[in-house]
Amino acid sequence: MSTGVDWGPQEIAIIGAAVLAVLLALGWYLSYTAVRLDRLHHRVMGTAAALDAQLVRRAEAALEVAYIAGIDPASATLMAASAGQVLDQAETWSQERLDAESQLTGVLRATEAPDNAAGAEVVELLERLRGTGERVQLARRFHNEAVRETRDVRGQRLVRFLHLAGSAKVPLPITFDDDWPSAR
Amino acid sequence: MRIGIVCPYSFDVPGGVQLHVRDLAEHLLRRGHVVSVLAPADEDTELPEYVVSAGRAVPVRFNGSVARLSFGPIVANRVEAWLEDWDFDVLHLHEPAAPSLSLLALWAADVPVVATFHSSQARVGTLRAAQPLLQPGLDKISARIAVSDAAHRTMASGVGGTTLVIPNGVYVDRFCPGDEDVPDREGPPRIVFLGRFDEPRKGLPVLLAALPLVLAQVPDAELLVAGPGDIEEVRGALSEQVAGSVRFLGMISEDDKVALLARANAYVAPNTGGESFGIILVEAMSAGAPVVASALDAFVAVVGDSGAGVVFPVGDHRALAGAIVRVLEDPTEQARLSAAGRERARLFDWSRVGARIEAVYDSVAVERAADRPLGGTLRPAGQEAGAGSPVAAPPGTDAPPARAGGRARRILADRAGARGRSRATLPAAAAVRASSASGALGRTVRRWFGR
Repeated sequence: MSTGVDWGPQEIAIIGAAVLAVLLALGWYLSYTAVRLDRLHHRVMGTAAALDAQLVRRAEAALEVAYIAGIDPASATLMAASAGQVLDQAETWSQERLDAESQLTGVLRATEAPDNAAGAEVVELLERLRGTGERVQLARRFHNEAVRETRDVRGQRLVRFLHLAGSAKVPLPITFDDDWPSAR
Repeated sequence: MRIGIVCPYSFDVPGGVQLHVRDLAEHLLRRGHVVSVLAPADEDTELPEYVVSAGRAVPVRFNGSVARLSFGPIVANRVEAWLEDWDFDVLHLHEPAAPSLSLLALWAADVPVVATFHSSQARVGTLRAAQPLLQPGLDKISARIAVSDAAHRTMASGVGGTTLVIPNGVYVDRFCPGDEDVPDREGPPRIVFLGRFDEPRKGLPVLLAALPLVLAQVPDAELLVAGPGDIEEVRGALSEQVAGSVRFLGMISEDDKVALLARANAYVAPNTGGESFGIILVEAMSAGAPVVASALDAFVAVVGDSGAGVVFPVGDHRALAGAIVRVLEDPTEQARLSAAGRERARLFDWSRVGARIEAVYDSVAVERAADRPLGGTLRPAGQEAGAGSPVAAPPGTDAPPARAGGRARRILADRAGARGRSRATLPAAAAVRASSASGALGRTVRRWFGR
């Protein structure tokens, strides 16, 4: 069946231009997505480092409270031991570390009632510990948000098919119990 | 901590975002942080010392009102030079989707970014059309803050992602009148309206429509209108019945504003839309003015359900008149509203709001210490950056070339002293910086082709 189109050089040029335009658009889209992925991975690295830093600060503050704040010896021992366990594990995201963080959170929750007779210094220390707890919650939330966004983009079929993410590891959400302190 | 704040709207004119940025910067400075604010401003505008001007702003209709925005290649270069000069730990952008400085800074940023969304009325359609252009920048934002649930909804529909809602702050104590002018509500009852009264969405027409109904019940009531706008035009449109009861005060000073609010028998916010956060309500409540506000989501969120103010349906002048009359005729109710409002306003004091924002900074910043000697491997890049900075710093940023070199060296000292575990990411960042010092051409190329 004839389509009635006379395939002269002009028609071929038009088809060629159309194909070229599609290829260019595809190329632009691919590089656009690759840049996005790169940035998202960058952000995930940043938020993970920030969370790590906040966790270390929380453990350090807990250790300080255990030694200085004059809470009862049993709680102090428990807190110091948990905090020490966390500090031993820092810099990795192993399950052991996450368990240690959850444990520290649990201990902090259990020993929250401070001594009324505490001085201004102790009050400030406790306030700081509380602040680090809040920052851990925020940092973990921001990290997991970045992870989720990155995984959304990585989940696109084209991205998987063409390996646009390259050798970057699939980021994993960081989950542990950080439910201390509860919102005021 | 070194904190960079970017305000997209011009400091020449007052506005909610500008005030928020100013107050936030002052709070952070008092807390001992290093803070620099980048904002558009005319050359002859007097700026606080922590503000760096990014040049003149161009008035553009955007988002329902005329905004003075700043954009273009020259401004983009200034933004990059500012970022390089200051080497922030955290960059806090306000209204990053507005086509102005914040967007440019977002593009250029290579440190953790916190973004605050103020607007509750970005047209979702416009945002969608620009979405592919905005997305690579939005991907860089580590923490998103919305100033209200309304702003959060707008952002979530246009931009996506979860958000923290942290309200705007007010220095509540500044709005508490001093002892010498103890609020007296004797004399004719005063109704107060504040704001750009010739902008319809601020709702003065609703209040003027309600006024005859109010005067029918309370004949000696007086309406005081303060704020910028064309007085003659509005006065000319008044009916004779109400003209005698309306006084226009024009622009007034902060002190006069506090005094005006403290003496108000009713502060009325009849806004019909476009408000994201009722900062003015918080100010009025701080000053002890009984508040009557339209039921915009943003206003309801501020007033709360605790009876700290009276709420009426948006645009309903009859309901407004009824509400005003009830407040004016009942001094006990005025006293109760005043006390409840003050109590409620405490929630929005900068001491609380600022602490929450600082917590967000801490939770995205990657720490670095400055107490170790300069690392040898990074020195060549530093010299290059030092030599490049004077060229890169355009006139108008406040960095004298001599200081720029010193700054770069100190920055390197910071960087070399960064804790071991964050070191892995640093050489890449240093390389990007060194190459970016090679001038405007490199910047332009990167802007168009990404990093």
